[in-house]
Amino acid sequence: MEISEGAFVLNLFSIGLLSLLIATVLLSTASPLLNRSLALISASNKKKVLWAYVLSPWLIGLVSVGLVVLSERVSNSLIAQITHWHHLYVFDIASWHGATLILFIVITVYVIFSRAHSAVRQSHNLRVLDNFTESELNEHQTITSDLPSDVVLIDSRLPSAFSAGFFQAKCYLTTGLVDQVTTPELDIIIDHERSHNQNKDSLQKWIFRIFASLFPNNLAKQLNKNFSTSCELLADAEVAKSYCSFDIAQTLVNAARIQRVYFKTSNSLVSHFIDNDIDIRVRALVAPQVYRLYPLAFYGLAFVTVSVISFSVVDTLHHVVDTLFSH
Amino acid sequence: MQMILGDLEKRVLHYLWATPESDAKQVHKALTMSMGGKLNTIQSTLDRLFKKNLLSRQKVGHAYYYSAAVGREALIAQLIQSVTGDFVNDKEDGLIAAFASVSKELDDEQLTQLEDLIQQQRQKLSKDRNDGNQ
Repeated sequence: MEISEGAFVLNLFSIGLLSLLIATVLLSTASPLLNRSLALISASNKKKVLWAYVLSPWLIGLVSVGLVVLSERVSNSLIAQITHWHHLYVFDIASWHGATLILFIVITVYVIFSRAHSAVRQSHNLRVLDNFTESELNEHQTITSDLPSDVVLIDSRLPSAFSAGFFQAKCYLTTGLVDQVTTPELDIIIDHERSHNQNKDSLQKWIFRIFASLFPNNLAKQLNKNFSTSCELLADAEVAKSYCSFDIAQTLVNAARIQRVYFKTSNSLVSHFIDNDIDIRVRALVAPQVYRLYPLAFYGLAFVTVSVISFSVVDTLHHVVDTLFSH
Repeated sequence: MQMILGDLEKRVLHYLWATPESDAKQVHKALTMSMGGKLNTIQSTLDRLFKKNLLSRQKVGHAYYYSAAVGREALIAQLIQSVTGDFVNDKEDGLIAAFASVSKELDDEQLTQLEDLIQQQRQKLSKDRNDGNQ
């Protein structure tokens, strides 16, 4: 058992962690409301709301810790009543507090490590892919010389175009796609991928995914999907500044058709499934909705409500668990 | 499949895509012409590629004869898959943004419907513009 300033810090971690977990449960419960509200807002606002959603538990945890520290400085305050913690300078590492704290740290480190590992693996595979593009492209020399330096041409029949890389992102095109699209279509595809690079979408997705891991698996998938779709819609909107929206939509359908023909005629295991993504993107391009509503007050109120409940429930939960487990 | 490949592994694969079947000595002889290297290194590289399921092998006498288990096109497709893996289904950590990702649910008919929608909206816009000019 520790009775010191160290115990105070460990208790702060416990308070932050409990607030974070309560906020996560509350936000997960409120996810149907989130999904409904996302349909009412533009892609850029959607992205902001999704970021706010996944960051909220951490923010609420930090604010809880901040409030407890503040309540220690300001005596007899309302804050002290809300964020009461009955053993602020006593911490037993062998208690459920210690066990929860250690378990959470272990899980967090594991999630970060596994995401970092997958990012390193993908980065390595990208470098391998780069190597396979250097040679054997004689018949595509003209195309290669016309391509910008940040565009890599992969010699493969698989029709694909994607952007990848965290800090020095590149656009990757396969000869299987390039050979089957017109020059204006190719320009649209390259601009779309470059837009992803400018927005650092690969890096954003990676970080977003780490924060989304805190939520239940199905919800995390839904959040990732929504985030991915928003990135695509924003990249399309960026290209629409230079090209006709109908041409972009047609290019999208043509590229999807080319992929579909390839999958039908080959035994390739390669497939990218983002349900209804193309449908959503085409509709957004040819019949864009006018979003007048951005229910900022709703989101603000929801955040404050979740925060207040999390702060005030922390000590209650603490007492409830204490009746089941000893300190 | 673990898809991390070194430079030498890639060169060995290139050689075996062009050559039906070879043992370590033949691979070593062919590759040392261009890049040097020891027989042991080639042997361990072949073994690694075999363990990664990229090569198959059969023992003839005292030597293993290797051939490519995965064709060049299939390997590139698998590499693309590993970096463009499905962001949603969580089988791989797709951190990419693919231009067009065909949905399992999106069939030819739906693509045709989308094409019709594009045409309708194009014509509608054109008509609106003409009406505005008159």
